[in-house]
Amino acid sequence: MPVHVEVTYDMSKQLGTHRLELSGNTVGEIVDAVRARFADDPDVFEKLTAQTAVAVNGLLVRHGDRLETKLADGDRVSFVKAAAGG
Amino acid sequence: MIKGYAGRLLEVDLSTKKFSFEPLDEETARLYIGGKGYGTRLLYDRTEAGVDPLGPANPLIFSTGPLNGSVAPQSNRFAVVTKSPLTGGIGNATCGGSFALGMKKAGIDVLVVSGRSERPVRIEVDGDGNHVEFLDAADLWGKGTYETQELLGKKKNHAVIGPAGENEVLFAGIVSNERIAGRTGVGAVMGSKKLKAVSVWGSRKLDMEDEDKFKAYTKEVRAIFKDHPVLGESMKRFGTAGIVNTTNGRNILPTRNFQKGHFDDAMKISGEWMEENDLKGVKTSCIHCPVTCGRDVEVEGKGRVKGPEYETLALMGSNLEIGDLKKVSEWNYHADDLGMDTISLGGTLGFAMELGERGMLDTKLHFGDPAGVTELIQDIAHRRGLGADLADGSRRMSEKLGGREFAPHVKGLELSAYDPRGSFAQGLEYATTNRGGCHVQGASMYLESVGPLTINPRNLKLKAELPIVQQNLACTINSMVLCIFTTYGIVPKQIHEMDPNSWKYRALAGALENSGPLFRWVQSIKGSPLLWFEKWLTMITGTKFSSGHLQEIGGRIFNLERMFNLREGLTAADDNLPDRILHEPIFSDTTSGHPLDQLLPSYYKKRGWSADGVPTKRTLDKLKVAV
Ligand code: SF4
Repeated sequence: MPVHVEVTYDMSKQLGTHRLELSGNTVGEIVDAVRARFADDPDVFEKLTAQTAVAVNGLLVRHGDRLETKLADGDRVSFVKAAAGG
Repeated sequence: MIKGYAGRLLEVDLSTKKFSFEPLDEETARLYIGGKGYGTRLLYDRTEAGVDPLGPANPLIFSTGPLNGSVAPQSNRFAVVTKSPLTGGIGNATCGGSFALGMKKAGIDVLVVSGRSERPVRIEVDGDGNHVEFLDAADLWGKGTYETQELLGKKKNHAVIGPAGENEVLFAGIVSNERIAGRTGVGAVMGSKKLKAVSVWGSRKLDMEDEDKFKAYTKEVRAIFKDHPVLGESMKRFGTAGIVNTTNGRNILPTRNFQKGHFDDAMKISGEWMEENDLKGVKTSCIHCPVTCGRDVEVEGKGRVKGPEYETLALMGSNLEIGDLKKVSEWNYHADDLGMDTISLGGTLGFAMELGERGMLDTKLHFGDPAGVTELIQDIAHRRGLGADLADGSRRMSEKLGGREFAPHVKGLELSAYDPRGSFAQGLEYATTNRGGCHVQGASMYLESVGPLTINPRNLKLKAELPIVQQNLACTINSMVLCIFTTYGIVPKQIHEMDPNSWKYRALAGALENSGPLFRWVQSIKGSPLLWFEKWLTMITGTKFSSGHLQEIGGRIFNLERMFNLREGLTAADDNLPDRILHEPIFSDTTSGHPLDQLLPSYYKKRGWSADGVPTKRTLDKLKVAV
């Protein structure tokens, strides 16, 4: 299932882009696909995602929680910082 | 006089050029604290129903509170209260800069400006000499806020207007240093009085009940702030702009005149982008504030200037589909220099773009295209051509040209930058807040969408309790007068450090959603002060304040504002949201927008109001709101 993925700024610094087009049927598969991009240094992925949550089309899915959440064609999966002030 | 107050109110009549120093009313200070609260009480008592907001009988009230003049972090803001020309109801705004400090040093808690000068005038208040001078301001009329302040000299503390205020743009603000009292058109009221600037200075010192304790405790709070993940890290690193990517990810970043909550180029207008790229933010802050949420950026031809904050980036960036930080920074600079609220400006520009695209307005403006915007901003401030229509805000434009269903305002005040369809409590706050669609008179979105521990923003749980507690607290914070961001510190570091994917975190978030009783308890605690603002208030004034006291005082202020609005002809029908927000979905799992009609009855009831939104006599008596 092709989906749009948006990562946090700190993740984008590592990946060279803040938007990825990936394929996956569930949130878990997308998280794994992003993790795979950090295969050289998995600790970096864990560090960068420690204070983030995942939203599907803007709705929060705690990614350790509902990794099995199903995705549809063209969904947007966003890694978002857990807290910011504004 | 209670400690923390200078004990004086200065009355200035611009029609007669007379002034007098009066004693501050101690009872009013006890009941309403200061700042917004004291100003609201004065406004209510001194105006008749139907007073013309741009007429001489509408007073413009500058008001400080007991924390102003101290070195407490986030404590040097002043409030401006008046009848709003934009909404026709209560108008108020708060502002950083140095003016609050200047007022306290001059020995004035409150400055009431009434009447209207025939010619442009400015006033200087020398608190030490107890002197007020009325000076000709013809040479300053027409000048921007930055040049005006420069000409007035750095040694004094100024509150000034720019061309937008002079020309009575209905969302004009009042500027002090590089900060602005932006909302509800307080600058238009100042302009209607032909008052270009107020300058204050003096050398008086704040008299506190327990200064040693205050100093020692303030040191502790500074350390807490420094260590706090939002106040000491996120806001320090990115400023308020650090929130752009979060609201975008949560689908609540106003985009294309609130047609969408997500903007593909959001990253390019984010605080992270600002920090890392060519604009290289330099940190700035209000006096004595360690948070340093301000940013200087480079604007072509202007050098380093104040950078845009979150609201500006959203309303003038994503809302117009402009993913260009340089452009938004440039517009922000012009808006500040002309003296205009960027939230209302961005909301109105977005509305004009949509009108244009629907063929309802003859304009070359287009979403995603910066062409013509810079010129139009100037035209708005000078009320030229199309700018004259935009200068009246989105509500009046919609009444004239159509498009009421997508005009982005509540009570005439343009919505700030959290789309309520993804933040239900915030939407209820927009609808019921007395000054209109605003997030700093209660910031529920922090616990719904952007804070570390968020409750479900799209169900009905806690959605009446949360806004009431938030609105009441904001009333007292704006009366002390503290920066509203101080409330972000309430969520402790330990919670920020929890893994948002852990079971503990989920359990806590779930418990919060079911914490109606907790919120009711917070409203009733009348014991010892717990949080820093309660402790500071106690140490300065010598009177014990706890969360229950602040809730009660905030409720009093909120209800008085409500009574002012009712007197001015606003009704429950004005507790509304734009049709677009109510009915057009922005989330793929729903066919509707915000469930306001399901939330309002319970909100009214919990406020102690009748079914049509009128505070009952019992409620007013209980809160000691004399009307
Ligand atoms: S947090 Fe920002 S706006 Fe608030 S007082 Fe500090 S610098 Fe000023």
